Amino acid sequence: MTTFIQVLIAGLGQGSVYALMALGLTLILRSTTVLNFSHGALYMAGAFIALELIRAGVGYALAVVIAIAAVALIGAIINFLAFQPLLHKEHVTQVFATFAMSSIIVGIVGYVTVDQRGMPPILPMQSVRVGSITFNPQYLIMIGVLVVAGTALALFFRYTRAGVVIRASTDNLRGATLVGINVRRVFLIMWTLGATLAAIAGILAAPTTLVSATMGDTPMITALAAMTLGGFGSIPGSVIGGLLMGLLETGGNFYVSTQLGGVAGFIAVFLLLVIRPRGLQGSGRHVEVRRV
Amino acid sequence: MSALRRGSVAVPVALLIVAIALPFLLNGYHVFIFSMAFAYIIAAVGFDMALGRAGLLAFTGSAFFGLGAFVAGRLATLGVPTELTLLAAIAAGAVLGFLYGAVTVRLQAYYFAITGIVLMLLLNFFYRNAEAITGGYSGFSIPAPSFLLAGGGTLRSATAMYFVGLCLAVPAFIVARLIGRSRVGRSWRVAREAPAVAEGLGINVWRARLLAVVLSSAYLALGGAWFGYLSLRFLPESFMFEQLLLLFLMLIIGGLRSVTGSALGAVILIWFNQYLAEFVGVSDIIYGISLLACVLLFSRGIYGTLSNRFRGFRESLL
Amino acid sequence: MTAAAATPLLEGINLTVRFGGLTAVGDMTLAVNRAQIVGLMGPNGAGKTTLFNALSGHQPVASGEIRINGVSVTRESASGRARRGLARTFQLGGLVGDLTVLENIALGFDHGRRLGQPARSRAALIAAAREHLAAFGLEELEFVYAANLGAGLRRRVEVARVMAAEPTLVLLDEPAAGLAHDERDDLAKLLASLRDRGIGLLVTEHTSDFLFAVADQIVVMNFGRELLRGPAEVVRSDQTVLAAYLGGQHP
Repeated sequence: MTTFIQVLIAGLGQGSVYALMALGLTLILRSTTVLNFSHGALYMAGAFIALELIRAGVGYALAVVIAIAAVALIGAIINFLAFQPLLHKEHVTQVFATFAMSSIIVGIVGYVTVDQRGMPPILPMQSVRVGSITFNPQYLIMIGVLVVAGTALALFFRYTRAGVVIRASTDNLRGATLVGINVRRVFLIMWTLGATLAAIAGILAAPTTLVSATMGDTPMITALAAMTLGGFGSIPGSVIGGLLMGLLETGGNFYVSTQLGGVAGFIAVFLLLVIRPRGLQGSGRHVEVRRV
Repeated sequence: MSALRRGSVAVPVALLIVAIALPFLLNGYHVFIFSMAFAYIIAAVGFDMALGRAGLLAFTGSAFFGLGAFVAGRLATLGVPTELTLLAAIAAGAVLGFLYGAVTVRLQAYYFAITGIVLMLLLNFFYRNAEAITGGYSGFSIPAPSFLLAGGGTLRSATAMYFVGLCLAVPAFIVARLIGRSRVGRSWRVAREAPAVAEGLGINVWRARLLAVVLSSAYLALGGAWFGYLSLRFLPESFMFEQLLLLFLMLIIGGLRSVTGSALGAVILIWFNQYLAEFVGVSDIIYGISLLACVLLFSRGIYGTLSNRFRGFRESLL
Repeated sequence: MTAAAATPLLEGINLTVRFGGLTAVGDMTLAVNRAQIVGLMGPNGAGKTTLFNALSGHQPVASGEIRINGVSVTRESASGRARRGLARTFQLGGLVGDLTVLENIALGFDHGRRLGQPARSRAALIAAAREHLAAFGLEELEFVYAANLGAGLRRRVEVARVMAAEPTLVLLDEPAAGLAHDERDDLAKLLASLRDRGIGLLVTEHTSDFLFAVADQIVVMNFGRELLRGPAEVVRSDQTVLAAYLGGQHP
């Protein structure tokens, strides 16, 4: 039983990271209909910048804040450089552009640092003991951040004027422009927001893994799988999908074999798509790939 | 004007003449690089069928490229003559392409893209773990090609490999062009732009897309098989995202939906790749910037844009 | 002109289409015979396009039956129906914009091939397409990209494409929309000539004048149901039809 709870906590913790990634991807997808293939690079950039600042002597909290701000800025740059100029081009082109940005970001980081580094955890202890269960408190922090971020976003989109405007325009960009909503600003906000979530995910995950230039590759794919599980374009679905992927991965790693854990989630996704082409949510949110 | 329109053979023929002359003008190393280009030409013109013409977000490029290398390479280590290993690679690509496509082609664009990535990961998982067959992480060596028709002797010289590659690439190119201008090619085009209209014309869009996947997978596998022989080694990690990005770049730079463009893109990228290998660590950045620049500046790829300027060079659907 | 007393080319029997809780088409029945033009009319939101799409196979039905030449095709896809000789136009985007007019016509011949026309070599296909364009007076447009055509010409090219397949049954979705007066007259004449060749046509229109000029029989819809049917003279003078267009008359 204790191992089950440990696996559960680890799975939910890891899943929270994936959920944050998937959430960011979904926000960008819903508002821009582009699947941001540089999301993994943003995740990595968040971890990397925070780590370098910490190693340079900056306090943990400050380093985290600066790193998130920096990645948010990168997100804004991607919006201006690789997204807005391509608004009317083919979809394949837009996807390639985000791919290109990913290469550039990963390339720059890879050029600057050659090796993999370890990142110190947020709380100084390696493990915490509650009753007979030992686990890494970092996982609880991950879950906590997801809850906070999720709630904050939900409140923002539901109760603030800006949030409501964005929600309205997201589903109907053309209508929004007609009503006078500054659609370009919406794009900017959503890209920045998405990038921020990716950075947070990266910083959270960093202490439990190694920080390297390519650390974002797998989480990116996992986030995509999470979105598929939860139904593409669905915000609650992305969170549920993320948590599921975390549980599948940790569960697979622990109960079957470490090799399988890595692909367990993907096999699940593949099977799901074969059986139910619209993901778990059925005929829920259906993001139309904008045909030019 | 109308003769040109009917599908410029001028450019491809000119390229062919240059290609035949090249080995006599260049040294062995350069000849080898161009050899490599042939493997990618086959892969690229095939990949364009699914990605460019049928408009599918196919992330399957490196998966099938690797499959071809694996199948042909493995059979080669068992002593099977090269004609047969290449045929086996094509068959493997077609069969797996059919199985994969049959369940995924009906999916919406992004879902389909994800299945391509998943396929790539699953194949990689298989290569890394089925050590007995695949050699695990470190793969296995692939012997030099030996053709029954050539009396079973092994090919070793760069020039010989070059011309064999040319003999594979030219028919592949011609067939791709013919398909592109056939009823099948046209049906892909309509199915891509306006599926409702396609259905109204009697085109079963699902079947058309499945065909595109099968054909592109067979082409990719053939290209990968030859790539294996040229690399002399099968290595699982060389068939992941970097390989996929390379294939994407070839298509984008050459211009989607142009067979000549894809071929040119392959040659350009192979050389670019070689050149960048000297600047270790910066290649990703340069690739990324080039891809971004290409995508921003040329809406139809370099070849596509050029051929737009000179209307007569446009690859017509007829 | 009496329609031949043979099996109708197209029949829709008690068709109902629902979107969630909304009944877009309720219990509609209509038929198109050889050498007949049937008009489908109704104010915006009446359900004519939905019915139209249901008949062509682009919209699934909740209940009812659809037959082509007496064969039930309710379960069949649009492409399946197209292979039985059904050809249709689209209100928007019926031509592929970045293909030339000639290439678009070739698509029509491809459809014809699927309907049993003999295979043609590429040279023969190009020649046939050119001839076909000339028959419609469009030969100068051969190399023009479809996206560069104005609405009237685009419509004519689309009809030409439809006819390249030599279909027996043609469905036109608001073909007169956006056309100038003289273009409409030309289109009406064209459709009449098709009918005289024995083709059965179903034409939906929002503007009634076009249908009054061209249709043998008109079916008027409102709120998804049939309001009235009959020849042009009867429909045009009917008060309920007028009210439906002018006001929001609830059933």
